[in-house]
Amino acid sequence: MDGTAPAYDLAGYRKAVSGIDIVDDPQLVRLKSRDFFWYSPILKAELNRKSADLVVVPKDQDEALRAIGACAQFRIPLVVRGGGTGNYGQLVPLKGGILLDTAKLDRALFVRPGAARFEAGANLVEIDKQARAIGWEMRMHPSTKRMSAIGGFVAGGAAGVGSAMLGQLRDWGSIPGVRVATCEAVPRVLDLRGRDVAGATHAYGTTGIILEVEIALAPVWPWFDSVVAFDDFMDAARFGQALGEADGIVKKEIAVCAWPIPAWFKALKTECPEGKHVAFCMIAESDRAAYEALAADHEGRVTAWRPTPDETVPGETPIYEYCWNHTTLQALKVDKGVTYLQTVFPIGRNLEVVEKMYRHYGDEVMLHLEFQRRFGRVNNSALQVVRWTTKERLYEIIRHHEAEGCIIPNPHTYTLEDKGPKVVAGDRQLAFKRHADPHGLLNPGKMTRWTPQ
Amino acid sequence: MNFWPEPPAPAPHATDWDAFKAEIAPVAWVDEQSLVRQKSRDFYWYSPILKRQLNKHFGDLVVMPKDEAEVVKVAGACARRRIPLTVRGAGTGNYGQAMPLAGGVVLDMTAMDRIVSLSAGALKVQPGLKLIDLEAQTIPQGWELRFHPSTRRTATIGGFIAGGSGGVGSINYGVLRDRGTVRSLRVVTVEETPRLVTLSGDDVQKVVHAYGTNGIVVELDIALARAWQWSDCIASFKDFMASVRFAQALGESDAIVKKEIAPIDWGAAKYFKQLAPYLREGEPIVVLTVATGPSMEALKDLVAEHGGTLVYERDGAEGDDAVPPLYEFTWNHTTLQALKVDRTITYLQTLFPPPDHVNLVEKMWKHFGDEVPVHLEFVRLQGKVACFGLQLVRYTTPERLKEIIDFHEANGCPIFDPHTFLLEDGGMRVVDESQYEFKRAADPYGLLNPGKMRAWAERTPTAGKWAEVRL
Repeated sequence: MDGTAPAYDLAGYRKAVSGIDIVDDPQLVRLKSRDFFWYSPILKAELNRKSADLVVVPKDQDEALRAIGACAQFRIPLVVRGGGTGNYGQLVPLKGGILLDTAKLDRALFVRPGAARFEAGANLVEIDKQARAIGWEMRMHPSTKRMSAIGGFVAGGAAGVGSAMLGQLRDWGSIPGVRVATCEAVPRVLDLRGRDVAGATHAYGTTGIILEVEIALAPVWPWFDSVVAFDDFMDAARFGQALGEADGIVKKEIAVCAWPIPAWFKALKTECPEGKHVAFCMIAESDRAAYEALAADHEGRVTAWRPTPDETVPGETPIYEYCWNHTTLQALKVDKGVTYLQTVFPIGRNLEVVEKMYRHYGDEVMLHLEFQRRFGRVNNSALQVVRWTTKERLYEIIRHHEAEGCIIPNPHTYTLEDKGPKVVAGDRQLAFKRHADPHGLLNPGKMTRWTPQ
Repeated sequence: MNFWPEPPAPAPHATDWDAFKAEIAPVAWVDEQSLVRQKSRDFYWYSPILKRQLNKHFGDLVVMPKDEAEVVKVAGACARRRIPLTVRGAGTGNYGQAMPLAGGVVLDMTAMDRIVSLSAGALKVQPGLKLIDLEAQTIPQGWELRFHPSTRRTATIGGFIAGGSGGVGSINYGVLRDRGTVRSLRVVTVEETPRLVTLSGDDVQKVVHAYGTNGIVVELDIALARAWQWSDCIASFKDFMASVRFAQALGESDAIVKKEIAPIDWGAAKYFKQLAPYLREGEPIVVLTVATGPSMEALKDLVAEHGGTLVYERDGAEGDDAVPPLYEFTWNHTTLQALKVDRTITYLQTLFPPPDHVNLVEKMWKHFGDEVPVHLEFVRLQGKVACFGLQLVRYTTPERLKEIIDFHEANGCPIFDPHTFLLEDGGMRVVDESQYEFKRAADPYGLLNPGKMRAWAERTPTAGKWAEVRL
């Protein structure tokens, strides 16, 4: 809250949820109300003072339903928190109210070949630990796997480590089902399957409260982390595309970082030689020789090849913790003067536009590419590290990219619409919200198309 | 009218066979004529052209080595006596890959059928192991072939690598020509003193799909895939092009894990006797193998969205008493099922190059109608979803067959001609400098599967038409 007294009956709410764990220490509440929005200087200014009034920590779904029902009863805004690893304030309460922390909703409902179902608060490392025990793993996960919860990933994420072959979270088949509670005085529990899942996923919790998530699994491969160093950035970029298109080489991750981004990766000094552009990859053990031949074709030198460490063993950093949003994080740890962009390059001529941007911006917009399957084809997105000057300059850069055919899911705003969700999914979300959140209490302010009726 | 080069006239190879048999002792051999003839055949008779050309070509002696040392012994004896040597797996090729054109020894590799090792998805295996037996040993350990031909129940791994190109699973892992799947090959040369040569990396392409003209493969090192649980199913559509668009959409649905996508028009599907109870008269189908669980669930939505109906569904992809595994209605088995009913049918092998492949399919489909019933196989080719055609052809004359081929090629659809026994005119396209040089080193007397490599006959590297699209 912004220091003004809430317009709702918090005392009544506390009474209604008595017996359920709550956190009301303002400092702790504020801490829980934050994610990684501070990557963006713009969001940092806008969201820094936002906080919930109260955190409620249900220990099971019955308690969660009580906590949700009471929000509807007292007309108090409600935001759901998973691991708090979003990057644009997905979970930051804009209008105070209740933050529902799913940390204790972490039961496994089932784990079987091909699929698993967990409560929303289950941690991703824990999910993979259980899946790997039967020879399977999550198809994709964010670079924040150690901290993230499955509910947060599907509500706030889009793709990740694994998308190099298995596509996006929103592709049919990635998330076969979710269980969602409506935000009503007597919440209903809805099991969504198939296309209906899109009403609740990647909606930042604006359309319903995700209680359980069913995810598709993939068989686990013996993955190896690898680094390839290149003299020429475009060689590295072409290597990324070629590796993506090499159907005989099984991979889970392909990231390409232009120098000087690797200069920030202190722990990878030997793998990332001074002045070299690098590719970070995860490759199936059996395909090493083919991978190295492809690197050599592109004038790359393989500087690291080692088994991907198990996250449950402390002390080792998997290569994916230098990929996706971790690239930006690793840079920010050292240099507070940078921020980032999220860009989808135009499919089919992605490398052409990448080259244009690389030549145009130099070190102002340092290219970090992520190669992935989109609609069956290999394309790259980018999470460029941007040398921050002013908001005006940032938007100039964004408009320039858009003029070249790129799509910018803008990470400097907190609304869904600015991320450019596909219209179909957006419509589905809006329709579902009308049904599941009649009072407009869920994460208010994030879905701009919502208007109270 | 002969549009296709003729083979040499059939003739036994003249040599002192008794002396040869004595020299290779104790290697097992068979010279009983009916058996030798049987072991000199493959499915060349799919093609009326090859049927006429190769019908009387046989080997003289079948030799069955049980290990590498025996192969070396036979190879050395053949080199010293200049006896032609044709290597054979199960003989499931379709264009005479394993048929001797100059008599001589047929080297039957099926006694070399051992798995040497399996570690982290890398399989070392002898060439004569049947694919079904190979997977029976690897699947319990969580690994399966990245792709296999429709002849999985009979073909050998060595025969597949030496004579095949892609198959069930190519929608995920591409074709043999792609880097990765074939890690290394150990071959025996045919010289007076044979050498053992290990080819790794890109060098394996000197031997892959070369019909055994470039050395005798005695051990293969191939990358496997993690095994999924698969389900077989068939989607039925009102309209063939709707089935093709569905197949393309499924191919591009990254989160629906699949192993096989084969749209088959009614003109071909009508021959599928065992599937008749499930098929709808007149409707094209798509034969599918999809991962059990979430992928299958999402597939049903996708089928419905494209106006299709799931008419058959079965957990598992191994078949049962009533219906064989559905891959036995795909790839070259589609043609076989039709030939069981109608012996006048033959077929084509076509690439419909992306990204315009769906339009090209439509154009050919409309142009030829029921004369060329369309059967497509969706695959990943150089990272993009594309499709091959293994269309049936209602055969009339060689002239008309040639016309049909020419029309496809004139419209930008290269034909991997299944009516020729020549490597370069079929899928291989090119015998480049390195392959030609390797042939000279590994088979200096030209004894390995003679007559199949145009480059050898012409004493220079060669390229067929469409050299840029190779199998």
